[in-house]
Amino acid sequence: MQNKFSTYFVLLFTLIVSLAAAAYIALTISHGTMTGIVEKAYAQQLSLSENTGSAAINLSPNSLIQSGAPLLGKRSAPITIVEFGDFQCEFCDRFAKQTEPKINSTYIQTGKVNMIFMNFVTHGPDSLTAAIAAQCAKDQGKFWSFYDILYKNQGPENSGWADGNNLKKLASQLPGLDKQEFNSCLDGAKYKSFVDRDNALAISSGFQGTPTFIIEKADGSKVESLLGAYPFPSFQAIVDKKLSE
Amino acid sequence: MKNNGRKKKNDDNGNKETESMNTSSGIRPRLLSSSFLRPSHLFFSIKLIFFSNWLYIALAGAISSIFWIIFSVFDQLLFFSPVFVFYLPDDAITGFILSTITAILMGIVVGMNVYILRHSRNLKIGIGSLFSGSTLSMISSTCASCSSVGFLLVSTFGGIGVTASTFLSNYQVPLRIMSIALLVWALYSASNKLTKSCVLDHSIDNGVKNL
Repeated sequence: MQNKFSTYFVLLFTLIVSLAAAAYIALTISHGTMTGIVEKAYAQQLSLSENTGSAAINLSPNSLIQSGAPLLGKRSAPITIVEFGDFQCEFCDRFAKQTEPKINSTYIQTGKVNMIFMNFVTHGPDSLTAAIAAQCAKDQGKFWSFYDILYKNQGPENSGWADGNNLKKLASQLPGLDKQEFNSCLDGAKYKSFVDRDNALAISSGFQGTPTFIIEKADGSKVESLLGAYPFPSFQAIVDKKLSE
Repeated sequence: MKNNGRKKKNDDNGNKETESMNTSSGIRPRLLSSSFLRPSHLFFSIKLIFFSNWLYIALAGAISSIFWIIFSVFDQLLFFSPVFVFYLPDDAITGFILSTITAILMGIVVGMNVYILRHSRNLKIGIGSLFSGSTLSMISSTCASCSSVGFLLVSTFGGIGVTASTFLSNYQVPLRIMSIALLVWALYSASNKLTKSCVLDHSIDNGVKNL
């Protein structure tokens, strides 16, 4: 009888623990929680900049664009979506293929929204190489074309698809690219410190995974955050709400 | 052991069968002492349990639904906020099918084990395969490197964390298939106990004691 009771107890306990763990993870990645974390981190970044008088990078669109982050769309757009992504991330790939084209055609092409890409390198050494290569492509004004090529050719993590040699081959698909300049930029890891700075910003902002999105007004107000490959209707709900405010 | 209302006979293959004479539920279970379990016996066990009491169907349905929701949230197919959305992109179809099979199996196996617990005198349930299958399916139900789990692994364990999260992400589908195999094994074990053992009192849910 006691044996049966203890088995019941183990079953029940395990079920409760697994449900609690799942609820905790679901809560930590929820839209509301992420927005709270980002609002707090953003306020700290602004307060630090004001107190020290430094022009340290923060999450506002102006600060990110001035720091050299790639921009898609018109700079004057009233809403900005900032993506913190990793080129080896499977969910970033899903966003790039499923959601970004719809955001692009609905909001970016119409001038209502612009999009900024920031690096959040968490998937291993090849992610860093890919991030540097993308910045090298940006040097020649081809970041977003290279962004599409990278996600189109994404392979298993750290399997070699994003090593230096393969990235050079992928970059050669970009029409009009100066290959010599690109190769020399990549070989010299010209943008390593740039990517490290992006990573530091993501970590100081409390991000815990990729892709993480910030949706904010052009002046950096009304910040909201999403963690994960949210579908188009989720972005649409937030952007439409901000446009009508 | 009491054997009221039962008779033993040999089948065509020489295996000893114990045929229950209990007809109070309209079911005449044929209990095998052979260690080999045929698919028909698996279906018989499932029918025996889930048609004996609607509570087992409710329990299995609840467990399956809860884990289906968990897997869909982890796989980033189901979102509750800012708007409720379920979407199934092309790249997620295989994972979705596997996680749905896993959730259904988990419901059936838990229901069967609860039945065994309620009806057995001192029979132990096969908790190892159920828990290992469930745990493995939970671990492999998301892109580990993309989630906070991967971030925690990488930030805590450095290079080893990268290797671990890369392994979990790259071998997600084989790991899910392995978890299904473990759950099928758990189902087999539970079914085997039901059809093989004479210590189960199937009359409990029918309000009749026949052992």
